[in-house]
Amino acid sequence: MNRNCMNQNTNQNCMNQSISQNMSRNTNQGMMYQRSSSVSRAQNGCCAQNDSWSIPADETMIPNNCRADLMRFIDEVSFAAYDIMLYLDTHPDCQEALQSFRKYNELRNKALKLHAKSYGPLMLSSVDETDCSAWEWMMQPWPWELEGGAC
Amino acid sequence: MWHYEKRLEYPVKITTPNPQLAQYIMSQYGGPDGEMGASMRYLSQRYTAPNRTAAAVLTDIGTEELAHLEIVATIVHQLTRNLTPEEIQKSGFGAYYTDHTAGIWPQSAGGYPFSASEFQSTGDPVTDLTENLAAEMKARTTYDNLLRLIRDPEVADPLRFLREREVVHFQRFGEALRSVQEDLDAKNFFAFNPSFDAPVSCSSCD
Repeated sequence: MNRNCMNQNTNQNCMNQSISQNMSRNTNQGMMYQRSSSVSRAQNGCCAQNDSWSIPADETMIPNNCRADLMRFIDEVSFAAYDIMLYLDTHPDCQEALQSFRKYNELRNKALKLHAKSYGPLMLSSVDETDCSAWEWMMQPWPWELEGGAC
Repeated sequence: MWHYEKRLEYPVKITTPNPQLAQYIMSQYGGPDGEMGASMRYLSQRYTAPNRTAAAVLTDIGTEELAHLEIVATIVHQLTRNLTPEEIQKSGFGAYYTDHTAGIWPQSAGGYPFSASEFQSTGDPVTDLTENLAAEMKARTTYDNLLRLIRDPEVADPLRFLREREVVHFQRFGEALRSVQEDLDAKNFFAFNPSFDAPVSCSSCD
């Protein structure tokens, strides 16, 4: 099977059947994006956003004054980019999905850079962005630590 | 090649320990339908994937399963922090504690160690992808079973995320299986193994 990656044999509506279906189905069933209201992430003012996972639209929404909010933004756009990537694996000619992937991946890269600069690197590729004389990679909280990502 | 990202795919923040729940949930770490078996299954099967779609789906879902393994381990770890000897004895966590204290070790809820015999890599892509469809449903059922027992929303929330991913993976594996079958003879998908019995083209017959 030889699939040309930029094959223009494109169904413009191809995303409607999957990505948005996954998202809306989850919302309808309350399975995935609805965090239980009793799970409060807002221990103090800076993390006081609503509890549903949402997919951020543009880079003006990148939080720049709260570590937990920025981490959550990274989680959200990373998930969007990843889920679209998986969709593209079986729908490689879908232009709508390709555009969405590029958008969320760009937001993700910008947010990862900001995190490295402001709080420390989450991956080795952003270690260069940190302004610190010590080895910050090892100093950052590990994701299983309860304290990790707290404001 | 893999790179580590210092975050979970979905955040886990459990403030109330519960060693009994940890004992159940650890089955999704090293149990028969857990994330360790899932990641090893897909990342092993991909070498005999017969087309671009199947190789990509196996690699990318196999990679996501490693992230799920880390989420499950984090849940178990946070449920077993700061335990008292009384809590350990009362909760039924004593048998696990005896061998592993509060360390993370891959076993089923019933105590059976993780085993590669819980998954297959047959080298036949139709068979492997069909196994993967069943595997995603078995993992989904296990998450359903766990969610019936869990009242703590801090524990249920990440498990619901993991459950939903099983459904999405099921969908993608179904599409991968169809892409493999589309390259085969629709009258007999099972005429040969496309990853082993390459159809012979006889030069003298061309």
